[in-house]
Amino acid sequence: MSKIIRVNMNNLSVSIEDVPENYFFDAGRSFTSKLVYDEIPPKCHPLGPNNKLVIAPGMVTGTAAPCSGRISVGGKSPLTGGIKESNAGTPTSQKIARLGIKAIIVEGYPEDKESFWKLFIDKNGAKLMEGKDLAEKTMEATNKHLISEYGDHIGIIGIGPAGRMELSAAGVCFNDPENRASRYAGRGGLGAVMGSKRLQAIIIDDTDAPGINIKDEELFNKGRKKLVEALRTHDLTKPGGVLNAFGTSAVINVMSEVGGLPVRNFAEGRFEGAEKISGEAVAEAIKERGGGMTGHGCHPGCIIRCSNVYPKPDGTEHVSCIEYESDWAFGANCDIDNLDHIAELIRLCNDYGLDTIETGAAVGVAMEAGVVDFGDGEGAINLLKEIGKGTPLGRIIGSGAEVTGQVFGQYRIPTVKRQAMPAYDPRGAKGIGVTYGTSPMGADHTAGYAIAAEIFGVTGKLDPLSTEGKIELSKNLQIATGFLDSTGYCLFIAFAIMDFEEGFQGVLETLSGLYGKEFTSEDVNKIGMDILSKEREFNRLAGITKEDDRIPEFMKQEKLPPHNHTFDFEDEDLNKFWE
Amino acid sequence: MNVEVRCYGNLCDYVGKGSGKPFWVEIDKQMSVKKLIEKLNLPEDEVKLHIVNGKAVEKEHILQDRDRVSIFPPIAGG
Repeated sequence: MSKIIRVNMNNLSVSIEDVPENYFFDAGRSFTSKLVYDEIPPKCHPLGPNNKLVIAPGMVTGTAAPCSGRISVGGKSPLTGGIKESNAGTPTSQKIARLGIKAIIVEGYPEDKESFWKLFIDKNGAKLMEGKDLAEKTMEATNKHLISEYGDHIGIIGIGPAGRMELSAAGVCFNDPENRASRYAGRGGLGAVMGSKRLQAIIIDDTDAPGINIKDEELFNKGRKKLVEALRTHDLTKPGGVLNAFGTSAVINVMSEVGGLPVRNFAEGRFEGAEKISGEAVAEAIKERGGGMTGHGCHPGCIIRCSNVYPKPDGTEHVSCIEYESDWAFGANCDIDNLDHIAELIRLCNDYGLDTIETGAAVGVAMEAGVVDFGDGEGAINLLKEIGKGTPLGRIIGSGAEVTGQVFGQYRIPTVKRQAMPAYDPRGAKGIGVTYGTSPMGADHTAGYAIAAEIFGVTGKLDPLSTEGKIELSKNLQIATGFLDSTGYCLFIAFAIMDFEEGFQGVLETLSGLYGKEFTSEDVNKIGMDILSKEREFNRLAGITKEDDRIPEFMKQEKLPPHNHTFDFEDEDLNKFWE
Repeated sequence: MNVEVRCYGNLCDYVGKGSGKPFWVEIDKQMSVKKLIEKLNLPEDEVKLHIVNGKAVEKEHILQDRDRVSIFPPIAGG
């Protein structure tokens, strides 16, 4: 990938730049975080003209490497006030990469704040166009409209009404292989950043794209085969394995049984309705109703294919997809055990352009505040519709859990650095709690997925209720994840490559083959550490310090049933984490 | 003695119960998780996690009366 598309929304111009030498090996998160660190003033207002939106596919994205259709979106987060990298799986990542584009950078904002714009990118370059035809459209309608105009081969990056309203729970939407508006770079409100720049959609046409130049094809293919073998062999990633057959929502049952699934706004760790909403229940409904599918892939070339398409009772399509985090956020967290309600809540988020985790957490806080009752699926649906309507109540929920908690005078707000916690309670799985507390991203589960070792037994078994070894576990994972987030590989390959050395070597060989330069495990460390130190420094300059590396007070004092633990790391332990 | 058992994923097919639906199984004194798995006719190589009263245990763990036992195939997620 040799060029950068820079979009200036001040003067509505586009320029094509060569990739600077010091960015040559960067992609995905290593690109976005470096760019944010280099070019965005840390104290800028996230919705102002000085913030930027950076979109970058990963290193091997667009090649034949398996599970490599991932893309990073970066900027200063309106939610956390710190650096953000958010990630999605989408064919559009591959289209951008194959066009030879390292990154799309959007900066400034137009004087006329009334009008929205579209950006069209193809092999000839990029041009900005007026976006009047997209006015008022939700994401489903946007995708339908753009496909009717440009054809169904395009990639679409867009924001819905939530992004247009610059709400802090707004995500950046990418299309899935069937052009659904369903794959989100959800976390951290980057949809609001895109909205603040008045860019509503980016259309990618990769017809006759030049493709990716691989320096050493033989080495690349050798590595690719090793990785494919590892993925096909490992119990977790193999075709027909639980991820493929039941999707990530199968984890609902596991986390509930071990007592770490947050229920009713993080009040307890086991959900009575778990088996009604778990991956097995999703698969059963799909089987019984006809229509829909399990084993759906979010991008071509994925071997794992953990996504799904969930049908209505009559077999017509309801939503893609019911995955663990979304299922939890609107399910156990809201005490809703009806999959059809959960499906509709997810669909509304997809349509309005919202992060399901942040929105579900906000609804949970609102339920605790009595805005609607816990368990009231219809009530939750009506609450989300307020966001679509842009009412003050809707804007509150659409601004995330922290704002919702503050407006309704709540103590029990499950956030770190103002970002809502995902589907693991720190008191039931202390390693993930360390990650939530210390990641520059705020409460983020993928940033250092300690659950793999604490719960699933990947790379050994640790006791989730113990603090022992968890600092080291989280730190090592955060470093390795920084690297993985840059490669373009889906994080789930980690399950296979952490257990199978050959698979890990395969990953390194695909990178070595791509660049014609040897990548070793030292590079994994170096790239990961480099990303994290830039992210932390940006945060420090933005005003986020180690005093913000904290789990909420209520989790340090309230015991979580059934095991009745608190989050019992000392503040000093978290202070020392990055030393 | 009896234990309350739940099976998950494709393991349900072996016991003929719905995923996560509890059923009681009579056990002998000093019965291990391994023996219970055998008793239920679950293929050992398809069982990955055994959770007793909310905590992961090894196959050799001895069951007590009224334990809550959850048996999972290899599972991971997001």
